[in-house]
Amino acid sequence: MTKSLVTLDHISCFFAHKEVLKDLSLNVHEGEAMAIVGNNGTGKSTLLKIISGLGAINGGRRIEAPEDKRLSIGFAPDRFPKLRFTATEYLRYMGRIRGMNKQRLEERISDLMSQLRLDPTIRQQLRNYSKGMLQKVNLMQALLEKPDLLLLDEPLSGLDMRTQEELMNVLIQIKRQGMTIVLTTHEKVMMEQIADRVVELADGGIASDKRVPVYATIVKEIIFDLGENEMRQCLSDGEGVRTWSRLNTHWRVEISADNSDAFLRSILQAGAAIIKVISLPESPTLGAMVPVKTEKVVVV
Amino acid sequence: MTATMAYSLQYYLRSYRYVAPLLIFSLTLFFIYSIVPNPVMPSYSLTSTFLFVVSAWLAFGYIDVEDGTQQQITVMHTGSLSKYYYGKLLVIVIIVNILSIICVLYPILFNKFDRQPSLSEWVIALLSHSILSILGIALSILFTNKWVQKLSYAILGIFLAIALSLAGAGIENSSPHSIKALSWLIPPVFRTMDMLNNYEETAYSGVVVSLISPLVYSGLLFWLFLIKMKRKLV
Repeated sequence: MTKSLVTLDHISCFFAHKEVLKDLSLNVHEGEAMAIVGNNGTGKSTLLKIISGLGAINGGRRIEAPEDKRLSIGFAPDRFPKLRFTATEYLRYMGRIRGMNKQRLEERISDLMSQLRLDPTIRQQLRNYSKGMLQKVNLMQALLEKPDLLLLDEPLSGLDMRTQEELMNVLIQIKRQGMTIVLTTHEKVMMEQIADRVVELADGGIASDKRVPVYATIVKEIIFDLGENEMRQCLSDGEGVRTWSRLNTHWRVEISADNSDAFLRSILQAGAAIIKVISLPESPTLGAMVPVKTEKVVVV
Repeated sequence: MTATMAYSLQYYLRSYRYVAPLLIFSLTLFFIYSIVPNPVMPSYSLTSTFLFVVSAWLAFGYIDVEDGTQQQITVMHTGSLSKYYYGKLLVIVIIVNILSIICVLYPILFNKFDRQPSLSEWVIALLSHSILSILGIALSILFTNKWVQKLSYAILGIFLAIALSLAGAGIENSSPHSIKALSWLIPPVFRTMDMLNNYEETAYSGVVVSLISPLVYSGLLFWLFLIKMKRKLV
C-alpha cells in the first residue's frame, strides 16, 4: 500500500461564518493524481489550501508525512497575479526564497522555460502577459524544486485551446514521472487524462471518492477540422478522450473505441469536417470509475 | 530570510507606494530646518513625532502591497508564515531606521542647531527616532486589509490611533486619578516627545521608561499582528 503524504483527519472549516467543510477526512497517497471536483462554492479551493498547509482549519488535524523531513509542496493557485517582474526575475526570487542553489536554479528555470515554451529573453513584465503565459509561469513556480506534492487550482480554467493542450501535455509528463498531484477542476478531459482518483465535494463533505482503473482498450485516432469554441464544447461533453492536440491546422483526438461513435456524431453536429479516422494498437487507458475503499484515519 | 527580504523590497519599490510619504518626509524635514538656529532636543522631538506619522503611512502602504494570491505563493516558498512576516517586517523596519538616521544627521551635517549635540544627546535622539518609527509601523499594520477590509475604516482608524498617540499627555493629565493608569493603554509616543522636550530636566529613569515603553508597546502589537495573521492568510 502506498503511503500517505498528507492526511486530513475530521477537519472542519468556516468561511464568513459558514461551515464550508464539515468533518472531512482524506488521505493524499504518494504517486497518485487526485482530482477534486464539485459545484462552485463546495470548498474545492479551500480544501486544496488546507492540503497545502496554508488554509486555517477550525477543527480536526492535518498530518504531514514523512515526519522526519519537511514535505516539499508546489502550489499553483487560481488567478495568478500580473506582477511588475519579468518571468525570469520572478522565478529567480521564488527559487531563492525556497533556498535553491544559484546554479541549480538557473538550470531549472531554463529547463522549465523550454518545456513550457516560454522565451527566457522576454523583458516584458508579467503584468503585460496573456492569461495563458501567466498560467505557465504559475506552473513553473510550483515546479521549481520538483516538489513531492503538486497542488493545482483550476489549472486550465479560462485558457485558450492551444495553451490548454500545452499545459495538459506537461502535466501528463509530470504524472508519468510519478509526482503526486492534487488538482481542482471542472474540465472533464483533465479528469480523464490526468486523474487516477476523483473526489467529489458536496454539502461540505465528500460525496464520492472513486478510483479510475487502467485497462487495455482499442483506441481510435480522429483527425478533423472544427472551430475552437465548438471543439471546447465537444471535449467537455465527450467521454473517453485520451489526448487531443493540434496537427497543423487540424485537430487530432485519441479516443477509446467505445466512445468514438458518439464523439464523431457530436463533432459532425458541430460542423466538423472529418479528415481521417484510424484504429490504434491496444494500449492502457482509463475506464469507468470505481469507488475507493474508505481508509480509517488513525492518529497517533 | 534575506531572499524574502530582497523580494519584498523589490516588490515594494516597483509599486511606487513610497513616493508620497517620502516626498512629504523630505519636504517637511527641509521646512522644519529652513530657519536656523534650532534648539537640539526639542527639534528632535518634533522630527521623531513626525517620523512616527510618516512610518505609519509607509507601513500602511507596504503591508498590503503584495497581491493576495502571490502572498500565498510566497508563504509556500518561504515555508513558514512567521518567517515570511519577519522578513517582510524587517524590510520596513530597516527603511524607517534609515529615515531615523537622516533625521538625526541632517541638522548636524548642515549646521541647523544652535550648538553641536553631545554624544548622549546623539544616541538618545537616534533611539527616539528609531523607536517611535517602529511604533508607527506596529500601529498601522494592525489596519491591514486582512483585518479591516474597508479602506475608509482603516484610514479613519489610523488617524484616530495617531491622534490618540499625540494627544496622550493631555488625556493623561485631564483624567481622574482613579483611571490614570489606563493611560498606559495609549500608544506612548507622548512619553518620548515629553522626554525630548524636557531632556535637561528628565531623570535617567524617566529617559529609560520613555524609550522602553514604546518598544514594549510595539512588541505587543507585533505579536498581536502575527497571531491574527496566522488565521487570516487565506
